[in-house]
Parts: sequence; structure tokens; C-alpha cells
Amino acid sequence: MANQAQPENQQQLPTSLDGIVALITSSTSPVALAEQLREFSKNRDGEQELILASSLPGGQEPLEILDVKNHTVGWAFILSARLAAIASKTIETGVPPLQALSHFCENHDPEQAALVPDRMTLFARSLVEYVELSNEHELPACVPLLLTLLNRSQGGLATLSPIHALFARLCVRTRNFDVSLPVLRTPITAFSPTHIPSQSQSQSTASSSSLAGAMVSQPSSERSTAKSHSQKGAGSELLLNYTDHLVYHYAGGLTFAVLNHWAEAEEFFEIVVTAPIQSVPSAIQLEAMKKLALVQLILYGKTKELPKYTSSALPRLFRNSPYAALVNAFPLQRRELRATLDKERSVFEQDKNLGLVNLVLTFAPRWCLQKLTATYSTLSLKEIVEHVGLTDGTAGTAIEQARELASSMIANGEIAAELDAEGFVHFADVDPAHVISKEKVERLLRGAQSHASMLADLDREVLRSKEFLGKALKNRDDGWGASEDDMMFGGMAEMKGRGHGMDWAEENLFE
Amino acid sequence: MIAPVDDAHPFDLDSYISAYTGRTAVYRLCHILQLAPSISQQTFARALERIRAGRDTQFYAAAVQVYNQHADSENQVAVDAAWAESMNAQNAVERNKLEVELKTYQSNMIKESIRMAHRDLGNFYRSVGDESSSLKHYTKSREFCTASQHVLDMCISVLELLIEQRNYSHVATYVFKADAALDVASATGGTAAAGTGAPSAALLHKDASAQKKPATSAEREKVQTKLELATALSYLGQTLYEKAASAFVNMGPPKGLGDWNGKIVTPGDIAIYGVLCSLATKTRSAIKSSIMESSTFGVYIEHEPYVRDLVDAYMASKFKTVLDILEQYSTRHYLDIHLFSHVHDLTNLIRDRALALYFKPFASIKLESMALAFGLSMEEIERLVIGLIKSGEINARIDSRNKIITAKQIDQRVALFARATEAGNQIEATNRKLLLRMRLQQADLIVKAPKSQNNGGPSGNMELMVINMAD
Repeated sequence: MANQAQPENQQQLPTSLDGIVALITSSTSPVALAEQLREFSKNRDGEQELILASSLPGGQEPLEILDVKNHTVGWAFILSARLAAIASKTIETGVPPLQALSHFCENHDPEQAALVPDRMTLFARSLVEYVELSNEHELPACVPLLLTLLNRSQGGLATLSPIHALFARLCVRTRNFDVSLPVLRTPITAFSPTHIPSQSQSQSTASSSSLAGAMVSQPSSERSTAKSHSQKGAGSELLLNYTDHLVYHYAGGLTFAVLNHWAEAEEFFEIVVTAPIQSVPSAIQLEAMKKLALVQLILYGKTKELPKYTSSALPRLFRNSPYAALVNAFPLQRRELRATLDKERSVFEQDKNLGLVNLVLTFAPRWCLQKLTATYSTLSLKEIVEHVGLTDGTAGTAIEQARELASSMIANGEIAAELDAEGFVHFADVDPAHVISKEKVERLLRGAQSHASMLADLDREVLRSKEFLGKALKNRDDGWGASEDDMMFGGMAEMKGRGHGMDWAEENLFE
Repeated sequence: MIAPVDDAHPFDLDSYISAYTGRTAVYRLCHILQLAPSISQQTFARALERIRAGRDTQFYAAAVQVYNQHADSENQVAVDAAWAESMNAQNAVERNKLEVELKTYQSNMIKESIRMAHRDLGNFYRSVGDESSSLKHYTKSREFCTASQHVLDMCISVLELLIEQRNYSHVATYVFKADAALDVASATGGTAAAGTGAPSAALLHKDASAQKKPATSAEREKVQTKLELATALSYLGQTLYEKAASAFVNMGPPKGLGDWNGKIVTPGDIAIYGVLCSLATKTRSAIKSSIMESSTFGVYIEHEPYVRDLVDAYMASKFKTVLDILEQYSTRHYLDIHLFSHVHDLTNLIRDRALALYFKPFASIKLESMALAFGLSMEEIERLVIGLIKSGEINARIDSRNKIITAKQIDQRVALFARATEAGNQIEATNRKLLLRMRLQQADLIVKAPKSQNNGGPSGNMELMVINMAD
């Protein structure tokens, strides 16, 4: 491949769209083409993007000449440049029809697309911006397009890319919460490149001239980045960076919260809060921290301790916010909760958390009642009214509300109790949710085993990795490596042995 | 707050106050004056006697004011201005004399005399009631101490002052200093004794350590109990009841108190402090070994026989008697300057422990019979029990309809499985999150400090926040 690329690299770069289309159609190697086009778009100030966005001399549509599957790289460059130019209002004509866009999403070649991740991001982002600009009501139409992009991307859903963040955000904005669930539920195991894959470096000897050209062009490209925002498109800004990761998980957390999947929402917000940081936490992290606290109040009735690796600055910032007052008063001091809400309404509203805060407040009685089960074995509805602090209101008399509260909590399995005709609630001694069955234990064990094997695989992967071997070999020189390895294998054997022991214990217990 | 003095709450002022001397008696009388208006006339008379014997005119005015607050209009008293004036004049003369002395010594640079002048001034200011000046001179005298015995004296004086002021948090510092001085004193004392016949330094050192023991005990005996008392009082003052309990019951014999007996506290006070703190914090077996079987602490208890009744009732699980005794002597406790602010907490603690102890052997019990055993009303006992269940002291639940407390039946197997499941899930979740975090770090997706022109973080956020969660 490298050899094929060489002659083309030495060609003069085209100066018009004509030449570019010719270059695209004549190219046999997508890798080299991606390199050349990137080179092209780097070379001059902003003009080349306009060239890419223009149409052919006869007013002909360049995309019609190119085949989307074979010339995915070309499509990506031209289409993204066009959309970006329209979105930033640099040009006004030549809007590609929506069919062309979906045609590209559905039929592009994922392998080629993986060569130009920055262009794919630019495409996706400009698409959203353009639709928003022209007709905001059509935004939902972008959702399936982005989903297709994600589904067809080379790394699949498990590879986090900037498009993930765009997509999750778009779903929240258009309230298409259900659509994003399959994406959000796929655990992230890899990341799209964080810097431009430079083939030129791997074949540096072969294409020394192009490398030299790139180096010469470096200062000008820097200047252009500073000059115009749209020019940043050529830079690393379009590749995956930490903001994408934060935004994706934050939006994911929001989605789960709206759909009342509190446990998953908690996990996503926690991921944002505990994201590795260099020194100063991001504003998104603080917002996530607030939402995390609210979600935990709903989920557990209290906040949980954050993992040790959380930045210490976040809890400190959080403690000074009105949310901390809310956490402290939850769930027993209803009056204080109300007072905090009334006093800090503007803050909650400004943070766009008012809905969630209100929801937290409606959950307060549930956690009150939940707490009462620890103290009482039998309670009358009247006493529940007193303890929980219910008042007659629009939702019926206090007693009715208490009955409604108790029966809904029993139905949801939140408390193990019975409600008798005289208006007494009997709390069971043992929560049936905790009663164990053979099936349940088996299911748990299977889960644990698959988890363990996943970890073992990972362990082996690490053992095989270049980095680890390098370090291990270095240690071996000092005479330590061998014994460590032995110990490790010994440890693994022991783990396996224990696994068998568990199988055996289980049989004994349940048969 | 007001402490009643009547048949149900007996309090004999004369026999109480006669045990005290010096300024603490005046402080105590003034405290009683504030809290027990029913005996204020008598108290005021006693206070006046003692104040007149001293030289503190400010305190005199304060006592008169407190008395007048509670007294009827016809019983109001006026400040004896003539006495106050003459006393003020006397004080001024005395102060001038002492200060001139100090100045002379300072110009003569005689260390020992300067120290003594500072000490005298400290004593003087203390008797006049100017505590901060007093403390200043006492601490100043430390610079001119030549022997560790002098440091020790200084520490003891400061401790007296601090305890009088009820400034408990600083006590520990001076106890520590006194302890250090004591070590030095006994060490040098030992060497001096051994130094006569020992030629080599090594041998001398050996001899010193060999003879250190008796020398130490002689030196220590005089102040050790005082220091222990100061420490115990500071714990009590800082509401560290458990530490205070241990400190009080492990104190040395009463004769070690020396002049502090009466000047600071009486042995009876120590018995009360020790027993109340112990009952509130210690286990039964600890109370048995440290109070009932301790001969040293037994001597203290002899001074307040009702305290022994209290312990006996507690150990015999006659909790109603315990509460009755506590109630009966509450006035005595409230009128004590050191115990005053803790009586309420200590009583609650003792009652809570008693409730928990009482319930322990039962699987279920009617609230009614529990109320009977403690001599409390149903509402009160229910409130207390609920509090204890919530704090985890009593492991039970209340049947609110039948008013029965039932011990929680914990199915250990279910509990174990629930815990194991929980732990497993948690580990899995933690691993998942950690792995993601590890990968993030490997991919260098780390939150960077915002550059001045690029605030991508917050701006991305603003867009997100457009969405409200209004459902």
C-alpha cells in the first residue's frame, strides 16, 4: 500500500474541485487519498474548505460523480466541508438533499470512514448545526442518521467517538430518549483516535517529501487555527477529547434519569464526576455532581460516598451549594426541604434542576416510610401521616395519601408489608426480596464467573502487552521478574481452585 | 433554668459550702445564687461573708446584682460602697507595691526574685479577680524559673486558675508541662542523691535510674493526684465522658489532693463526677471492677453515700430507683459548677443505657410494663425507645397498635446472602468503572485545565442545560 501511495504523494496537489474530484476518482488507495486530502485542506487558509464546498464548473454536483461506497473518503471531505460552510453561513447554495445525507450514512464504507474520523465528526456536527439553523423542528430527523453512523462505525457502539457525544446530546435535546438506550447500554471498551492517524509517520522514509511539505505548512496551519473558527475543523478539535466523554456520559445520565432508570443514571453521572482530571475539574463535572446527589437521594434516600479517586475540589464546591442543604434535610425534615426549595428556587431553576429537585421532594415520603420500617413492626395510617408529615391537599386527605403511599410502595416492592382493612400497616420481618433461591444464587454465580473470566482475559491481555513485557523484562534483568511471574500464575491457579470450591459448596447447600 | 430546693430535692447549703474554701466557694455560692432563688437569701449571706473576707470588689458588685435580680423589691440590697472603695484603695496600694518590687528586681536582674515578684503579682491579681492579668504574670514567671520545682509550682497555680475559670481546654497543656517538669525534677533529685558516692558517669546514671523510683514517688505523690484531677476535669469540661470516667475512677487517694481538697473540689464531688460519667459510658463489668471493687475510689464514695446507692441500684437493674435518685439529687448536681452543664446530658445517657440494658433479655415486652419499671409515662417511654431504636442501641421494632416492643429476628442466612449479593454487585460495578477510568487515562482523555480562549467544558454544558427535567 505504501508503495502505491508514493507516486501520488509526489503529485502536485490540485487547486480546484475539478482536480480534487479527479484525484479522488483516480486514487486507488483510500489511505493515501485521506492523507492527500488532509494535506490539501491543511495547506492554505480557509480557501481549500471553500473549494471543497463549491460545485464543479458546469454547476454539476460533484457528489453525483463519486460513488459513496468506493469513494467514502472523498464523500466525507466534500460533504463535511459543504455542511460546515453552510452551517457557518459562508455559502448559501448547494445544500445537499436530505436523501444524499442519509444515503451517505447508510452506504458509506466503515473502513474508509475510520481513516477520516475528524471528517466524520465534522460531518455529524455540521449536520446537526445546519438542520438546527434551517429548521429546528426537523432536528429529530438527524437522530436516525447519527444512529446509523454510530452503528456502522468500524469500532461499533463500544468505541467512544465524538459522534457518541453528539448523538446523546441530540437525543436529549429532541427528547428521543428511548432511541439512545441501546447505544447507552453498550459498555464503552475502546476509544476512537485522539490524534490523526498519520500514515506518513509509519512510512516516513517512503514519503519524505510529503512529510517535509507538512512540516513547512505547520506554521501556516497554526495561524489559520487562530484566525477562524471554522478552520479549527482541520485540527484535533474534531477528534475525541475529554469533553466528548464527559458530555456523552452526562447526556446519558440525563436520559436514564428522565426514563426513571435511576441506577444507570447514577452510574453515568458518577463516571462524569470521577473522570480523571489533571488539576481543575470541569464545569460539567460539577453539574453532574449535583445531579448525582439528587439521583442518589431518589435511589437510596441518601447520598453515597464517592470513590477515593474523585477530585477533592468537587465535594468542596458541592458543600457550598444549596444542594448540600437539600441532602442534609432529606428525607425527614419536610419543612426544611420545602424551605430550601423555596429559598433556592432561582438557583435550581438556573441549573435546570428544578424538575429533578421537585421529584426528589416527592420521593421524600417514600424514604420516610422506608425508614419507619426499621423502627416499627405495625403502624396505623394515621401515625404514618404524622411521621411523614403529610397534609390534606389536592391529592386527597392526608390519610388517603398515606394509604396510597403505602400501597404503591408495597406494590413496587419498596417495602415488605401488608395493609389491613382497619388501616394498619404490618411490616414484615424479612424482606422477601432478600430471600434466596437456588436459581438466584446460580444466576449470581454465573454473573460473577463471567465477570471473573472477563477480568482474567484482561489480565492475560495485559500480560501480553508490549508495555508490560517491556517492564517485566527490565525487571528480569534485576533478577526479580521470574519469581513475580511464578507468583502470578500461582495466584491464578489458586483462584481457579476457589472457583471449583464454590460450585461444590453450592451443590451442598441446595440439594 | 432554676433548680428547686424542697423536700423532694434536698440541698443543705451550709454543710455543702463549708467544705469549700477560697475563691471556689465564692464562685459556687454565686452559681447557687443564680440557679436556686428559693434559698438566695441564705446563699447571699454566706457569699457576703466570704467576699468580705477577700478583696475582690468587682465580684462583690456582681453578686449583689445577681441577688437583686431574684429578690423581691423590699429585699433589695445596695452595694456597700464604703467597703468597696476602701478595698479598692487597698488593692491599688498593694498593686503598686508589688509592681515597684518587680521593677526593682528587674533592674537588679535577680532571676529568682523576679520570678517571685511575678508569682506574687499573679496571686494578687487572682485574689482581686483579674484573671487575665493573673495568668499573664504566672506564665511570665516561667521565664525566670531556675528549678523544675518552680515550673511545677507555676503549672499548679495556672491549673488552679484555669479550673476556677472553667477554662477546660487549656488544662491539658499545663498538665503536660507539669508532668515534664516533674520528670526533670525527679531525675535531678535522683542524681543528687546518688552523686555523692559514684565516680563514673555511667555508673552514676545507673544508680540514678535505680534510685529514681522512690525519689519519683515522693515528688510525684504530692502533685500526681492533682494533675489527675485536672485532667479528669478537663475531659468532663469537654464532654469526653468516657475518658473522664476512667480518669476519675483511677485517681489516687484523696490525701493526694492536698490543699486542693476544698480549694478546688471535695472528694465527694469526685465521687459524683466519676460515678455519673461511668454509669453514662461504661459497661456493667467495667463499673463493677472500677467502682465497686476499687478500694481507692471507694474512699471517695464514702463522702457521698447516696452515690453508692445509685451504683448498687444500677447494678441490681433497679432502674426506677436509679432515675429516682438522679432526680432527687438533681439539684445537688445542677448546683455544682463543674457538673452543671453536663447534668442533663449525663442523665439522658444513663437513662438510655438503662433502657437498652433493660430490654436486652426480652424477645418482646409491652411498653406499659417497661414504663412501669422506669416510672415513666407511656408517651415518654415510647419516644425514648424510638430514639434508641433509631440510634441502634436497641435492636427491636415497635408494634404501634398493641404497644409491644419486639426484638428483631434476624435470619442470619438471609442477611449473609443479602450482604454477599450486595458486595458482589458492588465489586462488579466498581471494576467496571475502574476499567473505564483506566482506559480513559490510557487514551489520555483527562480533563485539562481550561485555556483562556477555549472554554469547551462549560459551553458544552450550557447547551446541555437547556433541557429541563420537568416530569
